[in-house]
Amino acid sequence: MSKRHLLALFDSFEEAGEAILELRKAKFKGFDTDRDMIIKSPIEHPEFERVLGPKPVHVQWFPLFGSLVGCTFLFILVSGAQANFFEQLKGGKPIVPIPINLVITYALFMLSGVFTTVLGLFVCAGLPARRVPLYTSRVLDDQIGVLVKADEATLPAIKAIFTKHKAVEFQEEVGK
Amino acid sequence: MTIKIKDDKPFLRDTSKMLWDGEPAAAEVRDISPHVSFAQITSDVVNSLENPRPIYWWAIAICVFMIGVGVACEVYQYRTGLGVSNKSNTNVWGVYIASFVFWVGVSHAGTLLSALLHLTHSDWRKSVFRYAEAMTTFALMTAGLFVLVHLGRMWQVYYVMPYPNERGVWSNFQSPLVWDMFVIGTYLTCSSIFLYTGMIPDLAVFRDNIHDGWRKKLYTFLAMGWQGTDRHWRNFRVAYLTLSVYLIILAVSGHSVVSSDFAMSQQPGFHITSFPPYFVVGALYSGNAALITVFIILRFMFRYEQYLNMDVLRKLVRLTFALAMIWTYLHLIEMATVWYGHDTAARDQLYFKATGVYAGWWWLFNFLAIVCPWVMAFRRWQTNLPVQMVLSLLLNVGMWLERWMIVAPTLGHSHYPWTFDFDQWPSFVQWGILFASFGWFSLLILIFCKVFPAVSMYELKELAYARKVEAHHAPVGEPATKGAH
Repeated sequence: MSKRHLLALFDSFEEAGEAILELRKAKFKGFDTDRDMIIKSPIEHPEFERVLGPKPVHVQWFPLFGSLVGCTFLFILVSGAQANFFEQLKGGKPIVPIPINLVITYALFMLSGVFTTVLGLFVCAGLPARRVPLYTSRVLDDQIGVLVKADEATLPAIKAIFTKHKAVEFQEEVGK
Repeated sequence: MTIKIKDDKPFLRDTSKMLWDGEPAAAEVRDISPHVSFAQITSDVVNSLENPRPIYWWAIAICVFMIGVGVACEVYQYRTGLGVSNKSNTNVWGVYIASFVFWVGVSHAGTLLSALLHLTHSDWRKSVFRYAEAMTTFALMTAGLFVLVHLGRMWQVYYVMPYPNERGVWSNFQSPLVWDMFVIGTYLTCSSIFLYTGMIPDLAVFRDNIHDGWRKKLYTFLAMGWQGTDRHWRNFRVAYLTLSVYLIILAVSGHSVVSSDFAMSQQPGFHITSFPPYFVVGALYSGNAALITVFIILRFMFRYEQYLNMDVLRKLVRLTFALAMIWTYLHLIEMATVWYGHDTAARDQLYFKATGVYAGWWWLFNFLAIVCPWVMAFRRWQTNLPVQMVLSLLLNVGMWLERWMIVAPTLGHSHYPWTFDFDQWPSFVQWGILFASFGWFSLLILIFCKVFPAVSMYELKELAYARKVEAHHAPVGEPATKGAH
């Protein structure tokens, strides 16, 4: 059976949250709330974490590895450049001065960390993103949107749950 | 219990309270009113871009004039030689490097407000941190120009950059000036990324609310398809927090490295152990004073009286006062260390500052930077806009003089009498370029605030929501505006 999108708009976080909770409890056949449901809101709302359940965030691993790889690479780069001083008089000073290089390595540790954090955000959040069907600008303004993708047969039941929890508007994908 | 986001009560903007408000009205006591709706925030910020007060265009014209003065001075200096700036072999840094340090300092307040206060969950920062972040980026861009101007042959700046070349000569990695290039370059790059990343949700709102023209294309491109999904927010929160941590560390290390330009030398007056914290706190102090100036200007120019309100100003002023006191302590410690130390050259240097040809400027800077901030200790003056406007400008004059008093008298009174140069006075070229730097910085800020959201909409919405929840749960008979900050 073909699947279609339904977007319900709510005025309240709590009503949206209650609708999501009930949807999760209903366990419709072929409808997985983790996979087939997207919440859209103008602000980040911690309450949704409670109703959606724990979802892993992996952004923090990007700067960890990025910083370590970046600073190692750049320390080697700077030290390699200094190794060129073998050809020059150094007056007894070390060719690769570790404490001095740490200052530069530290700065570049930060730089690579910041770059990879943003990279991590883009990868993990799926940015740049294409607009999904049934987008409305009100979800970034003052309403909460719950977008579901379900079998045509299941959609009326889902819609009934949303209506019960005071959804103020619906947008439905036209059937093919 | 259901808590509605949308408010039935229309929010009434008090248009009678404009530039020179005195004490805040009762409704303006909190950082944001619990009655303000999300849609109101969006429309206020979007409309403010379209319709600033006419003085905005006057300000743009003045900034362009100021930049013109600086460009003329720079062209004259470039064609004639650095000698026209009246620098000498002794006084080789002059106003340019003092101004470089000043502008790097101004950049630090943005990081403090946006990153450090973000980590400590200080909600009042939410209305001011966006333009503070922009100030960070633009102040660093201004600081960078002084390095180029100071070089004279500005194209030779690439000498400090590490790259393989046919001469086989690399930059001297042991020089604090090279560290400066790395650290300030990193700080500028990272603060720009931080500014942009934090704006993505607001850019998406602009994308959806502005219907045509180049702005629509720009916002569509920059918003990167942001739709406010739970996946977006979840990852955004962690990424922004991580960037905040990086930025705090970078800000502290950045100005510490700038202080190394001085402290790593053997020059009496520069070779001081406490310079890094002294520079960092001085940077936060002058940056906060600049934030107050810009706060008052934006509040009036873009009609942000609703969000840049008196409660936020009071907190900003208190923070500035606290930083002023920490800086005063470090300044006195620095002098006491020299006074009680056995380095006669450094002690002579201190005497020279207090009694020599620069004595007037030195005492003026001490008065402006140490005595004047005490006005901020008085509650009645904390929200007096004319007083705070003048005071914040005076504090920054004082802090600029402080940087100049580090550079000029010190270089002119070194170890050897043959290096003494007491008569150095910057020519009109140096003053003209300094004058232009304020125009350049202000122009960038004004353009930014006209094109991008100068206050963060999504964070204001979070704040308004939190206040609404507090108001909803406030015990009967207790004012809803009383609560945690």
